[in-house]
Amino acid sequence: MVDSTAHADHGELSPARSAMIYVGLLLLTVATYLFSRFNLGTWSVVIAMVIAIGKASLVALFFMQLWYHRGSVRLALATAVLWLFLLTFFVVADVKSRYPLANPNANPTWQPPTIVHGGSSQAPSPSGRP
Amino acid sequence: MRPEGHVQEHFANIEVQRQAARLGMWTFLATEILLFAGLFAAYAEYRSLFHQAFVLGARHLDAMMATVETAVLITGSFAVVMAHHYAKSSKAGMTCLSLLAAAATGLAFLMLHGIEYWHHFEEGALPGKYYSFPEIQAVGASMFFTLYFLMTGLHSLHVMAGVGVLTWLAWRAAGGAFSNNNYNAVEMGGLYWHLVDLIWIFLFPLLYLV
Repeated sequence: MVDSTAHADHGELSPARSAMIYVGLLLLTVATYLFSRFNLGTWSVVIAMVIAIGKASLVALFFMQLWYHRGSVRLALATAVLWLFLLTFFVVADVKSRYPLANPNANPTWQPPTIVHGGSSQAPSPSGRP
Repeated sequence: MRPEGHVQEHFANIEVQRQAARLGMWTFLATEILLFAGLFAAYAEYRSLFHQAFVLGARHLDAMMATVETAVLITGSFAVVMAHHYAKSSKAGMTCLSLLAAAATGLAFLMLHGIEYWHHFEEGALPGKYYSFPEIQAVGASMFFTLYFLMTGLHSLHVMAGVGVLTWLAWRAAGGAFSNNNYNAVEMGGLYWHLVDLIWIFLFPLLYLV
């Protein structure tokens, strides 16, 4: 989709702005390390990923110039990110929604239910995982 | 590579030619993202299955070392941005120096990562059936280290390729190959190097921090 209207540079990245973004990226790196030292449970994953997405956006938009180069190049990245999301989402959705016995058993103490003749069964726990 | 300063006849002008090169490069980078997407999906799957092992594994890895490695890669990205700027300003010497600085950060990254690998080899925190690390015996721990070696190993191969590309560009820059009308190669090599940085930005928290 390269047409002749496409897109002289919309400005360009100045060295001063590059340096600011560089310092910003370093600060975010230190911040994500410091946050990881606190035990924040699920929030530690959320915070780490939000910071990673922020850093990645700075790199893609400015160092990789997507802020200035509009049009089809943005579409290429957006498509790749969409596929990445779809793949990861459906893989996790599959694993999370399985009947426990369809998963590798993450709890070695768990035993499958003992089938007793006559139809009833004894199961220690319906969950395959701790 | 053909000198980019000359517009080839099937392009209307230099800017269209440049945009075509960018789109081609970005299409390639999209396939690179998809190459890693499989590993990210595998990580998500095994983390959800073996949560405890993955948390223990991440806690065991050297987060401080990885933070330094991240800073080194970001510095390399910044050096490439400056190389692009100098190439556009027709400053051959500074272009060459910036590219060499970026390649040096790549080598530093590989060296630091080699030290990490060495520690894991010594303690037996290895992939698959070679796993013999006594400190983490949770089920799935070997999967964590399998993914750790696969993801960082594939990334390190990309760093090596990037160092090669940057060195080649520096050599060409020293010969005066780039100018304000002819800097496509620096821009495309730079895009590749930024992608290597971009992937690390996600590997770093997933493997070392959470």
